[in-house]
Amino acid sequence: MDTRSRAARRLRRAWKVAQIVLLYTALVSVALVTTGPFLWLLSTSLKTVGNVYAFPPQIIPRPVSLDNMIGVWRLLELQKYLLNTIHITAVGLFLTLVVSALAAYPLARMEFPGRNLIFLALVSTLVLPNPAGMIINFLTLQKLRLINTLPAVYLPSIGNAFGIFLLRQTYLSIPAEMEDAARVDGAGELAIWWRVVLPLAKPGIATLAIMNFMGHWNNFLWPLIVLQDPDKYPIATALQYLEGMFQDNFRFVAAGTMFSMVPVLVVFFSMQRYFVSGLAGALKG
Amino acid sequence: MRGRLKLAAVLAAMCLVFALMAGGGEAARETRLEFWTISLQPMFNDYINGIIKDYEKANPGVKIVWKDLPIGVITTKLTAAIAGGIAPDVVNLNTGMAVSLAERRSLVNIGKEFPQYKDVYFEGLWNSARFEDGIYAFPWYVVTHVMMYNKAIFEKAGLDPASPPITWEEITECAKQIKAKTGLYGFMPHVNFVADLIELGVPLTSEDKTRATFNTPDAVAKLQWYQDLMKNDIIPRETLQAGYAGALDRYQAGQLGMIVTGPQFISRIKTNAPDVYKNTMIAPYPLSKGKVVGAPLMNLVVPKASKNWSEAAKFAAHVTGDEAQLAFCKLVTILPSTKKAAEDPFFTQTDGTIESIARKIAASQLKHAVESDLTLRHSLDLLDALTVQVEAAFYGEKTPKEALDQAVAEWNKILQRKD
Amino acid sequence: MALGAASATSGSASRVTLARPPRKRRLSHTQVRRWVTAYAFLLPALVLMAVFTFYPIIMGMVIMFYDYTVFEPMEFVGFANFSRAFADQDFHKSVLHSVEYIVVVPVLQILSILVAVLVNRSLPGITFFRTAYYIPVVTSTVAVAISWKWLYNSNGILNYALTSLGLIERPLYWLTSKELALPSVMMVTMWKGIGWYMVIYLAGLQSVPKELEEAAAIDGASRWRVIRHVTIPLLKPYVLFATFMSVMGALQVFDEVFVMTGGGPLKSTLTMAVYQYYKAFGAFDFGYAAAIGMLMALMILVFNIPVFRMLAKGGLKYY
Repeated sequence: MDTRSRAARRLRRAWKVAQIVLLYTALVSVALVTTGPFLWLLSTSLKTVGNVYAFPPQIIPRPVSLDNMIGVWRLLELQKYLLNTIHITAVGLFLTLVVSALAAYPLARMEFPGRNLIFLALVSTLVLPNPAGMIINFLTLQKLRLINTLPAVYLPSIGNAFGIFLLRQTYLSIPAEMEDAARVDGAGELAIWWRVVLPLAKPGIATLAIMNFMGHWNNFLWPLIVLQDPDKYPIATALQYLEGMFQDNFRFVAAGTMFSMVPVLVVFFSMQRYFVSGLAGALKG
Repeated sequence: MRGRLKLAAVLAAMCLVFALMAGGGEAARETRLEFWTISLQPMFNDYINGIIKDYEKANPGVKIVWKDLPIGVITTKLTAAIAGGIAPDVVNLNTGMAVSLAERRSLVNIGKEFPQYKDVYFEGLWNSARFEDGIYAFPWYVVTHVMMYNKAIFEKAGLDPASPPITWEEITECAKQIKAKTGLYGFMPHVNFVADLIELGVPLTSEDKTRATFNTPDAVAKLQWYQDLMKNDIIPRETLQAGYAGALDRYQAGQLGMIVTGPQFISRIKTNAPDVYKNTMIAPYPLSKGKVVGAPLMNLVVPKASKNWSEAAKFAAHVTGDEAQLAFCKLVTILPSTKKAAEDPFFTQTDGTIESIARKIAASQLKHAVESDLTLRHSLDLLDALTVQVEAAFYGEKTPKEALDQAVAEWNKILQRKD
Repeated sequence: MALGAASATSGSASRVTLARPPRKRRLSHTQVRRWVTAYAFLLPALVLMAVFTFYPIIMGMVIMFYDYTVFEPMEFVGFANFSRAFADQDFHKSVLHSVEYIVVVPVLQILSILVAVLVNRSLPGITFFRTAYYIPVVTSTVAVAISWKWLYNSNGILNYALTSLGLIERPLYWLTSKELALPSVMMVTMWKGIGWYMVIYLAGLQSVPKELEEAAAIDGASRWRVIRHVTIPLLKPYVLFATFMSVMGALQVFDEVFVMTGGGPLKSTLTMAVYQYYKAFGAFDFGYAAAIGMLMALMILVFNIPVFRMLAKGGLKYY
């Protein structure tokens, strides 16, 4: 009896260990697939000797060197581009969040004429094409005298249907009782939105922030069109200088790409915690 | 209902406001010329800024503003700038882009407005950006082809690295031997059948450009050659699709015996594949019957929308002039498009490095250089029609003769089109 | 991810069909004030979108009836751009490839759900794994192109691995053969998409009440019941939402194709969006490009009809 229960316990423990091993094996193998190309770029950026195209490929760099990182930083003077990128991303992201959070509120909570029309218009932006959009927006910004300014880079993408829909969805999942209570107390809609709704919508906002961040950060074509002065370029645009007939250092390309990617990963890593815990918290509350 | 109307009114008003806000031009006190180049920054900052400084000194009242752009976006940015009425004055484009803009009547006809420059450049290159009866660009720097080969692979295959193949027949034999002895591919051509036809001296169309004429025995033989190479697995099956980049990747990996390429790629091999660089040697690119070689060319164009197009052309002529081009060629393995610059002893001497050998070999073929892009009306459609047939012959679905006859028939239809 | 950042993403279109019209039309002072408030909240978004989104779209709908090259004066051509599309072999090819691309949708959604289930637990290091899975999403298109082209190279690591394992005898030409190029690009789309949809499904899974999950973890028999009666119904709207976006993304696919194959080899990966881009910025044929775009929009609607139907039937409560 005693031995049998011990055996059973041992079996259960072994099963549990096996489960965890299996789980981690699965987690690691998926991670290898998703990060493989990134790891190769990282490894290439840390190599200084040998053939980039070696067959069979060399995975672990030997010796590890930061020369490419330093070299590409100095060649392109990346610090100024990094500052531009941070500016564009920070302001662009902030405005996207504010504008979407405002617009989503009446769509989630109020009945008003024109609502369906607005919905239709928002959805249509996801589907309808605008092949000449780049040219037309360029002309508009020119008329607004915004060409060659950083706002020209982020303004066109601030109002977007996705952000509004995502936050509307979040608002809908928040019980309306608290708002009604605040309304009874005589609070205005703006105050309710700011004090009651927004704090509860944090997970949705975090999700939108994560998803929107990289759009601003990695955008390279549009800045090139609207900025005339290369000193205003974001880093993704500046890295284009590494590709060309006379630019032949593949390791620099890899190193430069690392500079553009790592900040995004750091942001996701830190926001991700908040996003998940915030989401769980909101759902409990 | 009323809200809906209100919204519509607001939207309409906003559209109207933006439609009415007219963009103002800038008043120019001095002649300000905007100069766009492709991917020269930051490597050639000193060189370009030097040219600009000299030019501004020699031409008081002219101010040059230089902007460098990546190749992938230059036409997009140019389109936006022209639409916005802030067109640049001098723009670096490759021939294909230049001709497609010329087709849209958006470039200054250099041949008509500035015929005095004609004799400065090699004839074949001056005629590159030809569309109908106009010449729409100043030829700038150019690269002709050389053949690079991997000495180590030659030795492994029992070939003598000191006597590389110099005719297409010899290249074919070498490629066969390398494949048989080492298992590696010996050769991977970059297939551009229009260039092949031009190099063979096969006329693409009749004089009046109403009929295609390229189904000649020479053309059939060339296509047959490709078909045999494919059938016998002498060249990789991906040859037709992988193009330039694919062949270069394979060569850099040390997996290819010979490659035809521009000499400027040597420095790329040196940086990325030092082991292969050490084993690389250069041989001339074999001339075919037509005694011409296709050469990718960079041009400077002047958009019609330029406010100072006459001044702009003068500056473009300066940048593409003898002196400036010679200085440029000393910085990187490219060749000049002007006759006088090419006569400089710099292009006939070598210092023993493969870069200088490549430069010498490539420069010796400059007089044969022509642009190999199609510059006929509907060139994209013509190219498609030919490519489909060449592909069919490559994979043995048709005999070369059938394929070319079919391509000629398709071309005749397109050439007759009036739109 | 240039300007079209928003296009990869979307809310639920379904709401259009489902939002109820206001029931009573009696005007009162408070009602009007509420309307004004509503529009005040919407104002910044509407103004920005009017200028930078709606206006270009409206212009696009105008120029599809014109011959418009930017450089020359516009010329009205009626439906000529559309009749041209119907006769254009390359356009047919691009439609076919875009439709084939929808194959990505079911595979991607199933994989994403599995991955979301995998990371929906508190284990040491789970944050790290979630980040790792999200890496492809935040990787810039340029970096994706560089690394995947190397992976797919005939001398690249994928061929190396497969030949070493003895699975293939000679290297496969992933991006340079007509047969494999499209599936190879699809793989990249899936690789990029998993992290994105994982986040969506994770949000869905997190809405399963913790108590039920805990109960299920203790009692094996109730686990299935929880999955069946709680998890699946809760996930359903997320699945429909993700499917809608995924179908749209597949039909509009541009980035991966453009940077990896440019539509080649021999047009075997030419998709509608890539073709449209070439017509616009290669041939300066903006009128025709706009017409192609409109046909693309119509196809997105047609292919999403089943999704809309299912939304109307099942997901109604949530949307």
